[in-house]
Amino acid sequence: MMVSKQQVQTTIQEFLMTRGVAVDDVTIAEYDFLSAGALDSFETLSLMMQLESDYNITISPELLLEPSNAKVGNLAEAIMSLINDSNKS
Amino acid sequence: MIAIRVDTLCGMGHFMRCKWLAVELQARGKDVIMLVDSVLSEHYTKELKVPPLKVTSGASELEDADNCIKLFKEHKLVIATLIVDSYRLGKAWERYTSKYINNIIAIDDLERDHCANLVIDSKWCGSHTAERYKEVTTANTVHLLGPDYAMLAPAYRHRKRTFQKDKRVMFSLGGGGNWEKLTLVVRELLNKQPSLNVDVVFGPKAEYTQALRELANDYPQLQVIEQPSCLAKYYQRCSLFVGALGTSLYELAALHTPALTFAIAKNQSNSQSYLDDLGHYFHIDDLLDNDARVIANLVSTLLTHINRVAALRSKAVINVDGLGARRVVEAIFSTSTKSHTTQIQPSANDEAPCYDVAKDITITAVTDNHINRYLAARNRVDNAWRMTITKKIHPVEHYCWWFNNCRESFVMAVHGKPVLYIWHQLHQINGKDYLVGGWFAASQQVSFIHAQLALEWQLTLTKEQYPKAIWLAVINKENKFVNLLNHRAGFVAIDKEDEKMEVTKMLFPQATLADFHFVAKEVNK
Repeated sequence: MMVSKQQVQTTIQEFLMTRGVAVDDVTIAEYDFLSAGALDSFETLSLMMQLESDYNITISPELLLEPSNAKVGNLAEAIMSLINDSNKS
Repeated sequence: MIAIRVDTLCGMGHFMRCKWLAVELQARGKDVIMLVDSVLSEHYTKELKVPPLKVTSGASELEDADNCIKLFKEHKLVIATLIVDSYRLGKAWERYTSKYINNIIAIDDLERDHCANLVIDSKWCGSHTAERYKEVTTANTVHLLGPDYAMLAPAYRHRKRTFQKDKRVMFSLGGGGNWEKLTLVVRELLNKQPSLNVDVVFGPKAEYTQALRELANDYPQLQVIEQPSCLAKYYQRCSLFVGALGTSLYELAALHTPALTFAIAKNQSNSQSYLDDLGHYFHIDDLLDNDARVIANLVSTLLTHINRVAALRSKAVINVDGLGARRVVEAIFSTSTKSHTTQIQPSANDEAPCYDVAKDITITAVTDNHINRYLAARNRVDNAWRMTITKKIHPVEHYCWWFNNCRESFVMAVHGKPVLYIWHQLHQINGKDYLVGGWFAASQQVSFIHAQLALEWQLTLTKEQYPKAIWLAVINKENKFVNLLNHRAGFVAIDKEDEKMEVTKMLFPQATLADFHFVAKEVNK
């Protein structure tokens, strides 16, 4: 499946939108959803599960131990790595 | 000459530590006189070269100080150093006496105000110990702080834990105390274990002792010991000490004697983590508020598992070596005494299984030295609402449970600091293996990511160890995150008609279908 980082970023942006958090296209990459308190533990887990389901990957909780991965752009990048690894195997 | 003004109106603890200081001073060739509130039997004073002088206790600090100065003049004593050990006498007393005597030394436990030249306080308060007295003394006051300065009898300097073939419990309330409640406890204990050896030690101000003396007539293995001048041999020969905290804390630590203590005076309330540092894990301030049968049951439990209790003593990160009086004397006569605080020793490795789960995150099997931290975590307000039992667990109940439970418990630490406890337990019911478990936060620093990591680790571990087991869980319906986490991990709702429902209800009797989701997962699915 050909997926782009932009696509993943949009998935996250739309997830935030459905939870009442509107972040524009210019600032979305730098938006830190954990520091902003935009998503609680339940919502964050829901986001991870949606990404796992949409992109057929497994996301380890360790991913979010790195605080910078709470920025949407970085998270999208990390998800892309998982997708690429999954495609290779 | 050195004078020591010591309070003898509130038990013998103050006198005893001052006496050992006096004995050490005498050994250095110094003349020492003690000023006391009441006449003491020679039994307590025989080590002193000069018998103590009785001073009239003042109604106020100033009156007491004036009485001391007058007494020195009356006896033509030239005092170079005056030491005071009394909760009734503080800064005002020191200020008054310092007009007559150059060197004033205060012994304290309660972080009160002082203007003395030197303040000695052997209490251990963890990392806070070094900060005590900074705000309540002068810039020139020297502080000697922590158990390095616990002034004990010479008998505590050569630590020997003698092997006890038969179990023996020693009860003590120090110099005073009301023995009514403990009499009931001793009676209950002897009813449960009629062959148990019991030592009961009465101090000079002990009250309501008649019933225990009568009980001793019925039980030859119950020995009443009256006002011993030194408790060391009794501490050494007992399997377990039960009594009031106080000087006994350091004496018990020096001899590695397992102990269960409670508070009967204000200096006996201690933070449990500080006591853990001393190897003393079983202190319950309000122990005597419990029913005698409950207390006796706890004592029995500790006796049954005494090897584990004794092993905890050896894990103390604060060493008490009984040389405190010597150190204080050296400080008094040194020309360059600086403030000093007892230092923590590196702890011995537990050799408990340890798993690296992520960078700087480990999960380690819980050992007995977590007994109090486990309880503190379990009783955190942010944990209770999620549990099937929401009320706080009392230490008496916890200790009895701890030694009899069959859980496998683990602690997750981030950079070495505990953040959560996680546990599981296997039950075999009707020929099938069932696993139940849970987790609770140990710190504010725990995050949902830690919980997720811990759960995934647990599922991986149990898959390996118990491949045929079925996981059963009850999750508070309001806990959206944990419900989702378990759903992601493969837990599904248990059907009401399923055999697993009855098993789950049996294992979690406090959980209701109204408030909890009942879920299950095959370990290998």
